[in-house]
Amino acid sequence: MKDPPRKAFVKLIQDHQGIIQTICSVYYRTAEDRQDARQNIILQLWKAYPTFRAQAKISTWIYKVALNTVLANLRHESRQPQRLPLTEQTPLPAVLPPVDDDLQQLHQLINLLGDDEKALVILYLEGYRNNEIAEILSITISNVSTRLYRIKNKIRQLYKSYTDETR
Amino acid sequence: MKLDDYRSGWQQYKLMNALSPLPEAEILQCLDQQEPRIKGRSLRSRSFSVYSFSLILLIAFIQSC
Repeated sequence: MKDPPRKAFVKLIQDHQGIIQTICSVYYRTAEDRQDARQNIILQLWKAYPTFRAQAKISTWIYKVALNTVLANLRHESRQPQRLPLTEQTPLPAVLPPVDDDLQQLHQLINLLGDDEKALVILYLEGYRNNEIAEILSITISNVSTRLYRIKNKIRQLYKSYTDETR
Repeated sequence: MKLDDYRSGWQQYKLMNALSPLPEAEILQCLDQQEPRIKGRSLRSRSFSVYSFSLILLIAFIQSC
């Protein structure tokens, strides 16, 4: 198969680099780990580029390749001493104190989640519907619904515990 | 606090990450890469080679006995 033009691919990546950088930031803390992840994602996108169908939404295709690349790499890494969530890796709190800052709230949420859950939450917050999330992550729609239900429940419980404790 | 309450934070986070542009040179460098960068890969490959070599020696030893 003829190689797709590199110039067009570079422009595509630059236009959508925010998606790639965000995914790397959610999963990796150090600059080096993020760079490794970013380069792996770009390589996988390049390999998949010839099969990309123009009728598909480009951002959805990037999310699919990027998230699956990161999740596959994480599963293959036997030891991840430097891999930490956004903020310092601390034990999961028994309760979640509410914070005013939106970004801090998001950090709290990310610290709560496992690798697969992070992928679900990223796509949910991006506004994808359950059937689209299922397609992107290659899982069933009912699996998506169940996991999202559990995540929502987990958050609700943690905040409820906080409210009960502070009364 | 509900999952939907995090949407505003998510939008801020995305904007923050979109601020630093990816240099063209880095993207082009990725295209010329043949293998994905996986931490510890070389170490695991080496362990596997040592394991294979030990296995061959063991088989050879058993056969010679």
